[in-house]
Amino acid sequence: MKTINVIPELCSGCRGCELLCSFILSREFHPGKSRIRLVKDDHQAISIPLVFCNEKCPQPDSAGIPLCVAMCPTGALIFGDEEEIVKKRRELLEKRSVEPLFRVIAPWKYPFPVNSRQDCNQETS
Amino acid sequence: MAKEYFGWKGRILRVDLSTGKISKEELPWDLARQYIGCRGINSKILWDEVKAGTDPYGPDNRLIFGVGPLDGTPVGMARMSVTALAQTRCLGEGGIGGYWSPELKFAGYDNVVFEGTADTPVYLHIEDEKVVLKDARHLWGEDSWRTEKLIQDELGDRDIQVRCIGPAGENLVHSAMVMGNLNRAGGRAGLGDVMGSKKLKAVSVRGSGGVQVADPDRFEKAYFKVRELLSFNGSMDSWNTAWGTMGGLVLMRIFNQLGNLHTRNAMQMQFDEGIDQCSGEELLGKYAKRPRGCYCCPYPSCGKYFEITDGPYAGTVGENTSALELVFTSLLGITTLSTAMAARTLCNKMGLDAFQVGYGLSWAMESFEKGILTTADTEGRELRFGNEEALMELIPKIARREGDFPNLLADGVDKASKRIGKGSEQWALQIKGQQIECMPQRNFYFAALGVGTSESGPDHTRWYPPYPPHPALISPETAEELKLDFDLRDVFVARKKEGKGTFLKFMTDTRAVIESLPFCIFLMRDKLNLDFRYWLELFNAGTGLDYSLDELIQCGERIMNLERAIIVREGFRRKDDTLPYRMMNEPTDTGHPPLDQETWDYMLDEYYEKRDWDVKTAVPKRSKLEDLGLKSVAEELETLGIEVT
Repeated sequence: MKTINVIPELCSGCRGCELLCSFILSREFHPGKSRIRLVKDDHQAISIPLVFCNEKCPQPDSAGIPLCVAMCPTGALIFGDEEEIVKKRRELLEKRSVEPLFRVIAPWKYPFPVNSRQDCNQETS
Repeated sequence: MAKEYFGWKGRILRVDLSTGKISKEELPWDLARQYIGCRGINSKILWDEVKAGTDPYGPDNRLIFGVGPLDGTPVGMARMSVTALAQTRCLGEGGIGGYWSPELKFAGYDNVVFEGTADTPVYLHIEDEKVVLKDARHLWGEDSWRTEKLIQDELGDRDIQVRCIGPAGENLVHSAMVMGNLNRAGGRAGLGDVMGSKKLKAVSVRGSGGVQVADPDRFEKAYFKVRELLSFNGSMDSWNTAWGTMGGLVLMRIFNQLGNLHTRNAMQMQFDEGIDQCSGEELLGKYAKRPRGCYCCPYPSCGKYFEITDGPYAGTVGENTSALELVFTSLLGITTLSTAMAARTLCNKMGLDAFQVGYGLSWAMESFEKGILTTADTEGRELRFGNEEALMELIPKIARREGDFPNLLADGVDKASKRIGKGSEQWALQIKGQQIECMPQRNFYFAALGVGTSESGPDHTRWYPPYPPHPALISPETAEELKLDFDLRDVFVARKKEGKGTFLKFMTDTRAVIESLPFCIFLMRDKLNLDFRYWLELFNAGTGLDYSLDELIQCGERIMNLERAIIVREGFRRKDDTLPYRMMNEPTDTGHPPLDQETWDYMLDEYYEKRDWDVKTAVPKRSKLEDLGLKSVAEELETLGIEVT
C-alpha cells in the first residue's frame, strides 16, 4: 500500500502542504481545515508535517501523487510503498555524503544531475 | 451593509498607544481598490495621517503594519510591509517575509495602525477578536530571539507569530530593524527605532480563520501557472535554481567575477583573496544544516539553518537567507565566513541593520587607515580592515550605545562622517542619509539609478531584480502586446545611459504592485518579471475585481507618485536623488570610470520625463497627479508652498 511519508530533516517549514491541502478540501485557504498539521519550533530548527490522511487526495497529479507531495519544494514528503520509501531514504543518504547540496533539497527534486564536489575538483586540476 | 471582501479581510486595527484605546475600522473599499494593500495602503495611510514636518519619534508619527489581499494564500508568501516616517525624513518602508502576515489575515485584519506613544513598554497581542495591549517591561532589553520565545512561552502557543525590536530599536539606533522568525527583518530606513520610540516592543498574532478568494478554480489555475514558471523543471530562468538552493550568497562569486563586489569600503571591487573561503558553496558544504523557507515559498532553500562548527564562534546557530555576509566579509576585508555568519546572527538578535554596521565600520576602518580616526577616537581599537574581533565586539555595543565610539556609529555613517569631517564624508557610502547596500553603481547604471532615486533611501527591493532576463523569455510580439516601451537588448547593457530611466519607471511601478499584492520580490523570475498578465489573473481571481492590465499597473504608478509626494513634502528634491561621492568621482580599481554627473543627469532627466515629473525639481506634475486620482495630493503640496507645475 502506498502512503505519504515524511523526511523531517528536509522540511523547510514553509507550510505549503498544510495550506494547499486545506484549499483542495474546502476551497478556502484555512489551515484549520487541512489534513496536515505542521509542528514547528523556529528556535530549535524543528518543523515536522503531521499527515492525518487516508491517502485519498481529491486532486492528485497525473501520476497519482497527492498534491502535497507533488508541490513540496524540497522533497520532504514522499509517496510510495515500503520498498520505494526505503529506496528514497537510501538515495538521499548516499547523495548527501558526496554533495552537500542535498542537505537542503532531495536529489529527486533537483532538475539535472550534479557532479559531486570531488568530480568538480578533478576537472579543474 | 458592509461590503463583502474576497482576498482582503476588510478591517483595519487602530491602536492608540498614548491612551491604550483599540478600535476596529472598516477598510474603505476605495482604498483597497486604488492602493491594493500592504505597501500601497500603508503609504496612503501615512500620507493622510502624518503631516509635513512631524517628529518621527513623536506621538504623531504612525507605525503601520500592512498585509495584502493575497496574503494567507500561497501567493502572498507572508510578505508584509511596515511603514512610518523615518528618522532620515524619508519614507520608511520595509518588506518582511516569514510567517507573521497569514496569521494576521487568519485573525481577520488587513492593517494595524499604531499612533501615540506608550508611557511604559508594551506589546500588542492579537488573537482573532481579542486584541490586548500587554505589559512588556520584562521584555525590554531582551534580544529579538528571546523576545519571540518569551512571548510564545508566556501565552503558551508556539505558533504565535511575533514581530519585535531588539535593543537597537529600543535605543533609537539609526536604521534599527523590525525583526521576527529569527532572521526576517525589514525597515532599513529606521522602523525599528520608530517602534522603539513608541515603546512598542512587539506585535504578536494568532488567527484561527481562513482566507477566501473570489473564484477558487480560476485562482488555482493561475497559481499553478506561477509555480510552473518558478519550478526547477519548468522554468527557463537559471536564477531559479541558483537562488532557490544557494540563497543570496550566490551573489558573492558572481559579483566578484563581474567586478561588482564592494571590497574594503568599495575602494576595490574584487575580493580574490577571500572569495573561495566566503562563497555560497562553502556555506552549503561546511555549515548548512537544513532548508528553511518563508510561508509557502516554492524555493526549497533560499534560507538555510546553519551551525558554525569551527573557529572562535563554534556553536553559533542561525539562518542564512539574503546576502548579508557580503558586508561582513569583502566590505570589511574579512576572509572568514564563520565570523560573518556569527556577526549576522548577532545583528539579528540585536535588531540591527547589517548594512548599517557594515558600511559604518568600513567607513571607520578606511578613516583609521588614512589616519583620520586614531586610537583616541576609537577607544583603543585598531580599526584596520580585516579586524574580526572589533566587528564582533562592536555589534552589541552599537545596539546598546555603550561607549562614545559605538555611539558615533549608532547614528549612522552619514552623521558620523559629518561629525568627524576632515574629508571622511567622501567615503561615507550613503544616499539620503542612509548607508547603501551592496548594489554596484559605477559599472551597473540601472542599479545606480534605482538606488539613487528610491523614495525610502537606497533600496534594491523597489526595482528588483537588477540582472537581465534572457531575451528569449519575452518575444518581440509579446513585448508589443504588453506595450513594453523599452528594448530589452538595449536596457541591459550595463554601462549605457540611454533607456535606463524608461526601464526604471516600468520596474518601479510594477514592483509597487507586487509589493502590494504582495508577493516576494526575490522570486520575480522567468516571465513573471515582465509579463504582468499572470499577476493580473491572480489579482482578479483572488479579489473578484475585473481590472485590465493597464489599470493594475496604474495602481503601482499611483503608489509610486504618492510615495514621491511624501518625500517631496519632507523637502526632498532632485538634488537628493544622487549617489555617494566615491561612486561619482573615483574610478573602480578594475578600471571602470566613475559615474559622472553628466551621465547621471541624463538618466535622471529621462526617468523624470518618463514619469511626468518636473525635471528640475522631481515634484510630480499636476496633470500626472490628477490622472492618477491624486488631485488632493497636488492641492496639499501647494498649500505647503511647494510649486506643482
